Amino acid sequence: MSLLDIGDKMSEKFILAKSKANEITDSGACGGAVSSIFQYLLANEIVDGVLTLNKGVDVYDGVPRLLTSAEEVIETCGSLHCAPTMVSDLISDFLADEKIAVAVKPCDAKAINELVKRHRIDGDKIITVGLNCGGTVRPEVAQEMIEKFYNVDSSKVVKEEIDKGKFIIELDDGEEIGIKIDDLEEEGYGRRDNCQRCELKVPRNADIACGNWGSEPGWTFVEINSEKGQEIIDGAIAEGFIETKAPSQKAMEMRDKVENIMIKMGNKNVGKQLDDGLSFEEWEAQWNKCIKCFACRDVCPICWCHECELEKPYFKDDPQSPPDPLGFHGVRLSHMSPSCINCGQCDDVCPMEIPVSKIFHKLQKKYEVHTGYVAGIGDEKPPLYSPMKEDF
Amino acid sequence: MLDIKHTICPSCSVGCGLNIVSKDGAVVGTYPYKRHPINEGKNCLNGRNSILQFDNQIENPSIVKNGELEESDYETVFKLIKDQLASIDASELAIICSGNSTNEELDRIKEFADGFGCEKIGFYGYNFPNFAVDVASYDDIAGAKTILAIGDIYRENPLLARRIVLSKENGACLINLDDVEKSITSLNADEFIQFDGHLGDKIDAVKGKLDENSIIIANKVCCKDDFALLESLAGENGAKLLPVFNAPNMKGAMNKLDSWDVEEVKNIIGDSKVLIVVKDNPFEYLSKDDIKGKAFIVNISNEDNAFAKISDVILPGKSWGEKAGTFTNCEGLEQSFDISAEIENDNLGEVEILDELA
Amino acid sequence: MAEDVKIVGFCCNWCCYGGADTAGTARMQYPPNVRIIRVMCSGRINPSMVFKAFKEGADGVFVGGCHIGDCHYDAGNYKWNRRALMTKDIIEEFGIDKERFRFEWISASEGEKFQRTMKEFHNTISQLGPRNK
Repeated sequence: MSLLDIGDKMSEKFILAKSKANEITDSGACGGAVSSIFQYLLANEIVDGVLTLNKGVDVYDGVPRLLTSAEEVIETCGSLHCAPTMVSDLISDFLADEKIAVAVKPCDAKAINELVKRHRIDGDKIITVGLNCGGTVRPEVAQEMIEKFYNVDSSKVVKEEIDKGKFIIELDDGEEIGIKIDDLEEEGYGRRDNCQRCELKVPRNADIACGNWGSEPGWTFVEINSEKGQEIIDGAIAEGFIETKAPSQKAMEMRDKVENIMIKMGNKNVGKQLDDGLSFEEWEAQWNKCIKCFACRDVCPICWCHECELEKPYFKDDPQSPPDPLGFHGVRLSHMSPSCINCGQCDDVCPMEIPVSKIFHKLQKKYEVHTGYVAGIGDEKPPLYSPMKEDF
Repeated sequence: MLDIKHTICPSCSVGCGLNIVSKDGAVVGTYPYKRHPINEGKNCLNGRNSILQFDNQIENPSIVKNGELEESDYETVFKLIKDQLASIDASELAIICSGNSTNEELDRIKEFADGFGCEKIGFYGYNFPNFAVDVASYDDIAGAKTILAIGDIYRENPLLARRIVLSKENGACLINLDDVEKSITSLNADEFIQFDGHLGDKIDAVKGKLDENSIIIANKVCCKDDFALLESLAGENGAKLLPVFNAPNMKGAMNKLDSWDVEEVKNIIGDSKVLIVVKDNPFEYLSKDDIKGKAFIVNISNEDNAFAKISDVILPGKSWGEKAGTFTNCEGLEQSFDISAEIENDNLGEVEILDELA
Repeated sequence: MAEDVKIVGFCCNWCCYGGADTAGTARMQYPPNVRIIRVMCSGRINPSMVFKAFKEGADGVFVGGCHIGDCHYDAGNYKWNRRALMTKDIIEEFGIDKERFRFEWISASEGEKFQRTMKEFHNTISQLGPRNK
């Protein structure tokens, strides 16, 4: 392929894509292009497996599932906003030797990026299919919120969506109800705190980024972010799995607008939750609850040492008291905060409801100000690890 | 292949959800089960470590000779047990169960005991007696104004402590009673009362503080009398009571079988010639002298521990992840779970073992 | 009270520790509250060592390395510099005044700078007083 050809291809960075296999179009979220791409990758043995989300008992229950045949893809169609999962560490811990494609939210993609930099995931063996994400809701919060504000039985919800600033549910009788996320969040419901602070809505750090923002009914808006992404799209077209067309100027503008509004919202929440967040005294009360169960460490997708410094004898704490905050959380912060991707998993798993991600994200933000390093994006590790003789 | 399956955590009686990750026939990790209403994907260290029980377990029916396990087969071991059972009166058999078995297994064990005419069937209840009072639910904790916690709930039952944390955020007052100098619970309590040996001495100190908006949560009592004190304390003040146990189905066992204290277990062992112990480690509450050489011990458990070494025969049974069933948690909620660990082994489960012995 | 403050000083073997030695041989007095721990390079120090010192009751922690450009191991002090800035950010979040943590570049010949720095740091810590933990 000549340079000119690549140039031509890259100019088609934005496309609308649609599934060509009809049985998938019905069950996939908007157009089913993502499902068809996965089918293409499996059917042509480009990957050994596809890691995606499976609906468990209901729409509030997302369980990661590894698919190994194209036929299985159809069983997992659809997106789940009430399933705040994290898949990157499943890959680094259990699938590092396999060639896989994975459906990722922006935070999954960021975690994968950090793990690739740490040689925990082989960048050549992984294909990341990004899904635009307006945020996720904790499953139990979602159910309570739906009962309280939507006045419906939460078990009747068959589908949910975040669109145009609203959290929209679809009931089993086809009725759709939407409420402004802002209003829900003011009441303490809505998206997870970290999602409210998120500033990456379109996963440009994945090979392709897909979503319905700006798309026409039946089509998926795809942004191609890497050469690998381009190859996949070209292959899927050539093998007859998807068809594509160019998006209109209006569609592009529409998508930008949606994205920018959400980024602004995220930005505002960073200020509200972090800069005007908990005081030192409030943090002390939070740390006082800590039982040193290591859930935050263990769930952190990026934290992975075989031998953890916190388990060394010199950091042993009296088991009858909470650990020394600086000697436990401080040490974790010194290891991980420059790379914190704000995925919020540590908040989710803390048995004591300590808002761990708020301090990690806050310090990442400070680190970003000092060094310009944004976690989860680009090819470089945090400058902390640099051997270079330079200030940062 | 990679597989993630829902299960119920076996590490205590709170009844948290837990996802088990298995790969190519082995359990490799856990994954948060965020949809579970009790813990929303949060698990304590014990809970996440419960998968360690799949390592180093006894894999085959075994006969113990001179303190060493010798691999055998089902036919031989079943014959040994049946010969022993045929040689004794029904009154000379005792069965020690535990809160580690599912409700279905406990029913089957009970049925086996009834069929044999054995009346000595029960479990060690860690000083909690069988009780009739309705227990409080977790939702009651959220609405409580005063919470009296007995024991270190924060460390030992963190996902229950989480309910206390949330309730405290709503303004609830936490009083902690314990016989230790300090604990994470005591450090988070609004008031800490230390007692020495018996709860009874300090009961008066809290009496006036409880009312119908109060809840008493206890994860340890020193004796059955202490529990009776708590029951009457709750009764007099209209407070709710929530005993918390250290085994996932101890509440289920409470509902079906006799809860024994140490003296009762000792007496029962003393009067028996054959002792069947199902998924329990009596060394957690008895000394070696209390049990060694007193009876022919049939140990149905795959836990490789000191008790296995003084048993006579061992049938491994199945680990919790390898079976389906129900556990009743401490608030009385019966939760069912499916096989979560896709482990390759052809061991008989406890129900099948008892089918064979009956 | 101020006499009771405890200061831990991590000094790199090649420069700052030499500076302390120079101060010592020249009989330059500096506050005895400073307990020196010799490390091979400031690049060997990580934030957890500073946190551990605070955890064990230090009222102030000092780290001394070679001047930028003079590192015996070429770039160790650059690495420390990057960590030091982060260390400052972290301790602040835990309610520790960032004045309680200080780092300087002191060469083996700068006995006088070592003395002055220790005096200043001791002064600062004395004014802040012991940390009430």
